[in-house]
Amino acid sequence: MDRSTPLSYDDQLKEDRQRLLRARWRFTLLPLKGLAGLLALSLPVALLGWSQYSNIVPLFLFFGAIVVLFAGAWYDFGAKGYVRDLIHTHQPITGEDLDRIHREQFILTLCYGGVAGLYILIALGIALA
Amino acid sequence: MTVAVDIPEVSRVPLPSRARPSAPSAEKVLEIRSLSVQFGTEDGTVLAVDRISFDLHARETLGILGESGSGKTTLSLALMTLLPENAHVEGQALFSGEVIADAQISGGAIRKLKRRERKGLSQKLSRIRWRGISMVFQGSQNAFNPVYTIEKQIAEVFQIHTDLPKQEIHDRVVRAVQRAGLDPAVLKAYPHELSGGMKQRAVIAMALALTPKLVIADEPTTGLDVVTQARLIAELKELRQTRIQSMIVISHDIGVIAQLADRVAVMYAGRIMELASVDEIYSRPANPYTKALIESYPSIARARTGIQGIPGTPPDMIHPPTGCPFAPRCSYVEERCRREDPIPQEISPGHWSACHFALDIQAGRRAPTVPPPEALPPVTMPDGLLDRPLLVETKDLTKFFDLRASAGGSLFSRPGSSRVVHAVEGVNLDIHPSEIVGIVGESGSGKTTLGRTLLRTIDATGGEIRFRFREEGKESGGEVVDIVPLKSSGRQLREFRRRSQMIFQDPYDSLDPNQIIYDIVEEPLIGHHMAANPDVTLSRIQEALRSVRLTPPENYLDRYPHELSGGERQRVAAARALVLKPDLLIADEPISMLDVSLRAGFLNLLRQMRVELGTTIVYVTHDIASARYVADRILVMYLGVGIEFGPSEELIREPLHPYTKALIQAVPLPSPTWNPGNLEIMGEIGNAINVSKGCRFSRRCPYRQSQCEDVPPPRKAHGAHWYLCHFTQEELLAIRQKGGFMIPPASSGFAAPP
Repeated sequence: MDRSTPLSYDDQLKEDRQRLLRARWRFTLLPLKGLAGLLALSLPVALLGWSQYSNIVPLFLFFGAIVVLFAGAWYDFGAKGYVRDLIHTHQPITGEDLDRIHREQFILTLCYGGVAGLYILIALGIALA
Repeated sequence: MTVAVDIPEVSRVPLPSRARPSAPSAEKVLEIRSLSVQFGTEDGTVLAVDRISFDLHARETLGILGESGSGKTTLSLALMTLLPENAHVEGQALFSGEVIADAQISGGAIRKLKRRERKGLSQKLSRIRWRGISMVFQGSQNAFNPVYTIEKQIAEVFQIHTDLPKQEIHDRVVRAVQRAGLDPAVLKAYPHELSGGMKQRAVIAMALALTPKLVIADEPTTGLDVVTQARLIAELKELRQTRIQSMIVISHDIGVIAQLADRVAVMYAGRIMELASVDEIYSRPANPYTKALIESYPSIARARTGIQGIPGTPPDMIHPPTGCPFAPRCSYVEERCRREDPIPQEISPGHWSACHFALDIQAGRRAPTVPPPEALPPVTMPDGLLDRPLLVETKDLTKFFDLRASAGGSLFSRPGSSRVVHAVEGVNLDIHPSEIVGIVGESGSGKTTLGRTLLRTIDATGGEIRFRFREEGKESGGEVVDIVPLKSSGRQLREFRRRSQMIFQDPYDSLDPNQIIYDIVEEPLIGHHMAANPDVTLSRIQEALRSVRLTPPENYLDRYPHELSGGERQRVAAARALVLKPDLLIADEPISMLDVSLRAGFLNLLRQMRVELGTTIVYVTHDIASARYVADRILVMYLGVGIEFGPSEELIREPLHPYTKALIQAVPLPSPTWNPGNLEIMGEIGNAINVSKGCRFSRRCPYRQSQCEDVPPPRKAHGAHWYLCHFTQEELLAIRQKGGFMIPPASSGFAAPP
């Protein structure tokens, strides 16, 4: 962590924006990894000619979609830990901070909803194929 | 009046006069008549307060002094009619002639009242509480609701107890916080944004909001830094002359009581052992317990002469002893003391003592029958200590905490604002074998983080920690390794973990309550695969317990932590650290949770550990007096930076940095003559996020000049003693003489949140 050359305010904002996008992506990547994992696990079985593949795997994907939806709705995405850190360092918490926390949680819930949709689309694709 | 432990008729004695603008009047605010409080528990009945009697007059402050468990807080809760349902009260307490505690209206008896009687009691209490008697509760740092602003919580007092309109309530809240020495900007803040001192002031503002007749302050400064404590004492002293009519101050700290009280009641085992004017108590104590308390107080002056703790522990109040309750710990004990309960006697007007030999003890005519614990000689640096090869050396050691380090932090952080806590920055420290180094500073100065980084329980952000892996029994030689880059699974770091141990601040939390002492002390041996042979393990555990003076060790092995006193628990924590025979021991505020009477004993133990075992100790504390008592050299830290370092005697006698001078000024003396009013320091420490580019202390320094804020201060050395400041001592003196010296304002310097 090099702190010897402080960034200008604009550069700081740009860096914060990039951090924000990276953080959103890191959280969204988790259910995507789950999807890839599910497909990767079932693919060898499909290649071996398992006849029930198109019946069973979509079911798993559908259940996976429900889990992702619930995770997106209930997980706090680290907000509790962040507020605890602010409290420990005597930082003020304003209405703006709470708005930002709620907005980011909403965006990530939407992202998780989208990923859950992807699970269902793929499930449908496999079932109908 | 007085103590009446066994006397049915309580004699009335005029109050002592004291140099105070408004002397106590004859009007009685509080009359307590042979008040006893018992608690029914599963193990039996605990006698918490035992037949106490005294009066409190208008414009008088009574200090109640005693160790934990002496019944101080129970007494205050009885006066507020806040006792729990398992409490049973005997005797009576009257506030301005109205009964506020007796067998019918206190504790579990309230449940037996008829509905109408209960309603009447509720109305009476609602009228008396806050307008008649208000209270500053113990641990008031946690007294505020974290989800409401300070204003909302103080305004609640007015909303419940008055019919004032909203605007008037707001104005009064503003005035209340201003009177308590706070900036009105704090009103919009949430409790977590305030420092400990500010929260305490806000609690005091709340207690004084309706100008009550009586304020009960239960441990008002406990848990605060010395600087904040000194400020608060000065402010309470001022409020006592202007806003507070009568006050009861409860504390285990003799220094605090000496400052605030007109009269002092010394409590032990639920009784008043001595009651007298504050001057009499401190200059002519007539009870062995009072004497022992005063002698065990680790003030900065006593740190040079040796401190003795009080041996033993307070009695079990489920089975109260016959005779004098202090007899098992008393140096003047005789057979009569164990047999007969001492009757309080008035040895001079207004001075009462519950001791068979009060007059002789006061006059110094009585020799101790039991030799008191031996006081250690003043700490002296062992010859050639600084010539020995270093055990630990840090180079520019740095630890930052980035609140955006986690994905959640990056997601929710405010854009464009700094979120890096500069907990430790550029610390250079060298520690020799068998040396005790004190790290001193206020809360938030980074001393605990430095200690943990030295042990690598948290990873450093930058810099080096060079540690010498010595061969057993040899002071020199061995490989020097930088432990910062070591892999956590590596052999060398495992070996470092064995050689470095820690004693934590709170012995009530750091010991597992479900484990017996044997298991607790054995655990590090198991962790380092050294417990294969049960006989060897047992002997190592016994040796560790013996080295911390828990003797005979067999008596402790099967006991659980709750069966031990605070001092004994901390010794078990020390034994757990010593069982691995470490080279380096970090003691993080090891005495801050202990009673005054137990502190001296633990400090003596640290010094004995160094002499007998050759252990190198880093002693972390906010109390510079105790650091003087144990440490060879002291590092003073401020907002993550070491600002002064030197041999402890030299640093205390000739402090060079303005912050060190203020820290020394702030240590209370156990004497009514000490004046905490003119500390040369401004505001409060703040946080280590938006730190100054120049001198970290510049925002609080009364000598501040233009360059201090922007230019990092150079290191100025006087032999082995150095400090970080732009100015020499002559220049600081010149600034003072030229009038560039800023007088610290009374306010706390709270900056409104952005």
